[in-house]
Amino acid sequence: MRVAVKQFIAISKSTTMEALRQPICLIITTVCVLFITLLPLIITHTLGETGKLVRDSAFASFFLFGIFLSCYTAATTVEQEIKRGTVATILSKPISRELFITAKFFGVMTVIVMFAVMCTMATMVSSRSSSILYEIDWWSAGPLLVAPVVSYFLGGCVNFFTRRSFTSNAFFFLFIGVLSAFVITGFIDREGHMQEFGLLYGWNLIPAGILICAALLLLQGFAVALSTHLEAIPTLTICSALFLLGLISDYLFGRQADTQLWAAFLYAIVPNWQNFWMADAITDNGSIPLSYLNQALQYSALYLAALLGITLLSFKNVEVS
Amino acid sequence: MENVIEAKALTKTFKDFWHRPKAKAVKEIDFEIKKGEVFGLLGPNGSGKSTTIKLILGLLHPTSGSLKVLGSSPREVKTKSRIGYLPEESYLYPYLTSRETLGFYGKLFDLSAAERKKRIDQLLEMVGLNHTKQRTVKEFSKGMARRVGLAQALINDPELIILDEPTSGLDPIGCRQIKDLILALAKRGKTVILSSHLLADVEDVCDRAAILYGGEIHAMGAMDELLTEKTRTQIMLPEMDHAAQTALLETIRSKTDSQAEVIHPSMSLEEFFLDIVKKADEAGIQSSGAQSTETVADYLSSDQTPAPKDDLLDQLSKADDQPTVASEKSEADEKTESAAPSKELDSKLDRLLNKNDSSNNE
Repeated sequence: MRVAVKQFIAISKSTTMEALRQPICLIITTVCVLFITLLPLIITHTLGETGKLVRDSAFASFFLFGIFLSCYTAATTVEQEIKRGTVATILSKPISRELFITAKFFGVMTVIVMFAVMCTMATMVSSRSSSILYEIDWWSAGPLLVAPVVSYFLGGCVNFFTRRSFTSNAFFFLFIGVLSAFVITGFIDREGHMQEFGLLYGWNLIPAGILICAALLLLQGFAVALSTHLEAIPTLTICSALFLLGLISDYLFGRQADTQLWAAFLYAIVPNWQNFWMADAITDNGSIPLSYLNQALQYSALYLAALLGITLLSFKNVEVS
Repeated sequence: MENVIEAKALTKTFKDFWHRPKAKAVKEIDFEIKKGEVFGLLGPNGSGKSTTIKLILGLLHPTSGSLKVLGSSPREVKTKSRIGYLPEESYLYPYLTSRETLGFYGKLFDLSAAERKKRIDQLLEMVGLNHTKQRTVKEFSKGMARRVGLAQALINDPELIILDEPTSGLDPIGCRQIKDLILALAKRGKTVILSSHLLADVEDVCDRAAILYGGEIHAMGAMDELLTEKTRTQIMLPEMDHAAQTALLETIRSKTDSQAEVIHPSMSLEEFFLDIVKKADEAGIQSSGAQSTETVADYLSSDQTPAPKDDLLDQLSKADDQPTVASEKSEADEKTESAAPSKELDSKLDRLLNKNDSSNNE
């Protein structure tokens, strides 16, 4: 058991590192964080609706960039592993197929969770800086705008002095940078004075961020399952189709679910992304009930477990050549 | 001796999407590989060598027949901790450095951090990549990636080592190092399966070989059995003057009634090339690629002192008690033969020829 845990950690870690060393991961995350941070600048003078627009746009960017990141990372790390043949080398070691796939699953999840944490924090900072009419709260936007620059600089230094990978180090520095910017901003009020931590943050945004993260993990689960048998492009296409189908699931299947068995079946099977989109619920300082969050997370966990089970079964007898 | 691998009527048929047979890669082959053997799978491209290896590793499943690896099913996970595998292509993570790659595989075998570090250092030194520790595998040439691949195959100090086209993409120095390493591993009692379409690779290092063609074994046996030309005899001598040569030839012709001839053995291109590189290395000329090393990782090194290789005199001495035919030897053996004082040689030769003569008369 101890050995299996060590092997699991080694494969998960290697999957995470492999994903983070792909420049696309760093680019998507940086662009998303910067875009969310700059939203108050882009969406200003909106007759009092700036805060809502910024929050909606921030969550939408978080979701869209996240979909691409989760599908791409899952597809490349698993499908590429099979296509490139590294899976043959790993499965020639004392590693069971179940352990291999589960570790891959968790390795990709780590990347998505890190991305989600950064985006949620950026959304909270961005929401704070857009809360004054016709003004930009530079004390909150400033540190977050500086964070990517410092991260890239530090990543470059590490690469220059130690020859370690620029992209993965810059990603880790970006993660630390966004966390630091969030903490620093939390202690500063709009005039630049020290204050009690987090007074100006909309803490009700966190559950909404968690729900989007859960949706991204579900999509990543589909992508991993598909990647064991399909190449990256079909995987991305099917995941995109699934995302669109899930968005209009209420309309397509929900209306007939009570009367038609097929509709009820599809309504239950296709993940309903609307359940994870709670931007409207938090308008005007509204909050997401903990019971709802709890149920949504349970649903996601069960769905992910089922996806993992299907993936394990389908990969059990796959021939690796 | 214990069988490490037993295959009986082993067959592998690849199927298409509709499960219709597409290609029969391996057709009812039978073979056994004993513990401590260096076994060669020889054949042209597409002859079924790699498929056989993947069946042994449990990566592919046999369509029919039976296969046992180290006494159990090839799909048994535990058994794989005793196997080291170098794939045909260097299947490595492109974004990891050589050190990270080896560290990763070391963790899969539950090696302690200290043991892992020790083995990684020794392996990188052995494969000549000690100076490229911080470069990612994607920046490596094919030959350098191959060396990392070899190092990962040996990280667990395996009992059974499976090398699929190990010299593919390697320069002659690398090829020679791999062959030397295989011999060193065999000396330590490891079982090595070597798949190659390069005849010299197999000839130089294998005890036994199977020649595959079209998924079937067409010949199998010890290298000596397969390659010895029993109708001819070769005697190796140091340089001698023309008069001595003529006298010797006359003696041989009169004693054996055969058309003996004198030829000067030439150095192989491999030996010549290695000599040039060695001189350049000694002259301190730097290379950014893989380094030429002659080391074997300590933990892989033999505990036994290597058996001294027989020289010509020893062979001639042995000839007193054995049949007098000195068969044509492998290139590796030829390299080890040393010159002997000519007088002693003459007397040994006389004894040899006399014995041959008397046995002919009998």
